[in-house]
Amino acid sequence: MAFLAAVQELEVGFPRRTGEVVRVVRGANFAVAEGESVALVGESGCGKTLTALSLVNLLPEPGRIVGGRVEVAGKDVRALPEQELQQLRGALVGYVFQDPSSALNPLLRIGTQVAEAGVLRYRWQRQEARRKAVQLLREVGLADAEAVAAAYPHQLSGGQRQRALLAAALSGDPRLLVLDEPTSALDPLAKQRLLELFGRVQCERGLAMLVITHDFTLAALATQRVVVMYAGETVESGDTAQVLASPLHPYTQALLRCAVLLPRSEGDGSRVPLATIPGEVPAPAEWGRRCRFVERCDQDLPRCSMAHPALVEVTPGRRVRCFLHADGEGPGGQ
Amino acid sequence: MSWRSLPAHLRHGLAVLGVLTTVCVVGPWVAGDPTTIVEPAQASLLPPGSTRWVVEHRDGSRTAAQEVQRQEGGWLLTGRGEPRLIAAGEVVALRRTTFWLGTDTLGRDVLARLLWGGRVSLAVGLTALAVAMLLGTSVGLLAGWRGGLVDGVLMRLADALLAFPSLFLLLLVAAIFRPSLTALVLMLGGLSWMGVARLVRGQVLSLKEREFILAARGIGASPLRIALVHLLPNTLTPLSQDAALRLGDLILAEASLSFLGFGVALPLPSWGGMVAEAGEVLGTAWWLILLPGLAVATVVIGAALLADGLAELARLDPA
Repeated sequence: MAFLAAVQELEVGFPRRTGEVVRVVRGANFAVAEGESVALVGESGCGKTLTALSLVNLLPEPGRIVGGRVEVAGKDVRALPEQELQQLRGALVGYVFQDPSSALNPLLRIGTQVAEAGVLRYRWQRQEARRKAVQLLREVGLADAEAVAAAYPHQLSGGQRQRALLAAALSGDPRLLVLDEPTSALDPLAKQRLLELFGRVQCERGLAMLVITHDFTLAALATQRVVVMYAGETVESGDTAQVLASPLHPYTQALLRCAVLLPRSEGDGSRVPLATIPGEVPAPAEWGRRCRFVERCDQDLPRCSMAHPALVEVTPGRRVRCFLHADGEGPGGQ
Repeated sequence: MSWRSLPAHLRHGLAVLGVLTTVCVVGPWVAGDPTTIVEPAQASLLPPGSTRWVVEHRDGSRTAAQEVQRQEGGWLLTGRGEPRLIAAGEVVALRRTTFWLGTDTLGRDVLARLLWGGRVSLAVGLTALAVAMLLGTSVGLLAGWRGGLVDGVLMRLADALLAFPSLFLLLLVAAIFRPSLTALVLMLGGLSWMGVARLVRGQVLSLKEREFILAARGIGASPLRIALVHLLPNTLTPLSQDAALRLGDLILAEASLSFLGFGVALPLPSWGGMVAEAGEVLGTAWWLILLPGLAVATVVIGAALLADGLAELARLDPA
């Protein structure tokens, strides 16, 4: 299959003053096909956002991609000069960032910001930029598009800002849309409407979508495939329905026990309390040559503390990094 | 936002500076030539409100008199000392003139000099401010946004310049080069950009961590575009406060230089220069030192009020 974006054994590092490089992502693997929507799931601090930012090398200073392969539309991102990367950004990959209140420039009108990617890519002139901005705002379901285009960010509600951000990401006509925790700042109703909007926009434009989230509900509702990350690496990936129905990795299983997925059937009487996963994600320095989840795992084998499992394809399209299901060993920690 | 709803300090500062600027820009057309000397013997050190007859002679010189009488063969002038008779053919014009703010040691009209001096002082202050802002903002943006070695070199340069007392540095340069008006402006501006650069750099350092800068990079904006479209406008609020304060400083610096004789060159009047000249006759002519001194103080206070008001405005309306 031809992938629009593919990441293999990605390593993202932050150099310390001492010259040593701390690799906070090590072993991230995923791919997004044209028109497909994929969820990147994991708890806070497991490297989801950094992995997604690596797609067009938007890593915050002084972060660097220090290993692995990143390909977007057949191009090796690590080998591209900054100028060509600038052209990929917005035109091929569009980002909608997490916090709608700080992802908009407080001093520019919404219309100006929505049209910016188009102005950069298509050299829209002033009149045209204004017209397109209103059109885009309408496309994302803002009824009063003219007024919104003329407003400043602080005059909008959270939901309106989130939609404006989506419009801004769409104005460069990207083929892949990256949504970083797109609904975490919204209430359930607004969340529901926004999800419907994402689905519609994706359908109409034939977009590929990468949804970064810690919320399995969102993954279940909005995506076809899911990639589970833990401590800077991919631990499981596969068809969303399959992963949800029969999770293989103990971490995925534990995560699912923590999520309220479906309304439990009425009258069955059994109330399952929401679970938590004891402990916390180990820091990169503690990864070592073993399974990174071993300390929190309820099914660990003796081998799990002695070797680092590799990501293995167990059935077509289904991969897991766990000795319970596959034998492969991979390189360990730092 | 209406005028009434603006912070009081902002309104007062704007009013003070606005009135003063208007008066200094328009005034000189009404007030006449500040370099005109009216025969010191008759017209020097006249207190404010004095009225004299001014006689223009055919050779261009001017004399003054308290009383003028038409006599056979000419005009009889009386005033300080002996009366004088001037042949009618010698006189080109005869005017009754009121020196509203008095005259100086050379019989020049203080009002005219004050207005012209204000024009010079404000023009020097404002253009020097523009130079400082332009330099400081560019350096600050570059240092903060590029970071690394560029940042290190530029900021150490700023530190080095800041380490000298700036008046001392200005005097040194002025004493060596005897500056023209343009050079004076460049010198004043060129030695006061460091604070602006530090301020802008600090703002940029904190702004560049904000998500909208990442978002701008994410849609493919070039670093230059991000600096000018996204970073610069977001530094303008603190920058405007700094500019208002700095305007006061610069006008004061210009006045100090002129006072010490290294600023605006004679015979062009400037407030600092007027204060300096007044020092010699401090005991007899209080108006000579008081008026230009008050003018400088008023501008500096106006600028401070403006800065204060802008800070207040930023607190009220943090958009």
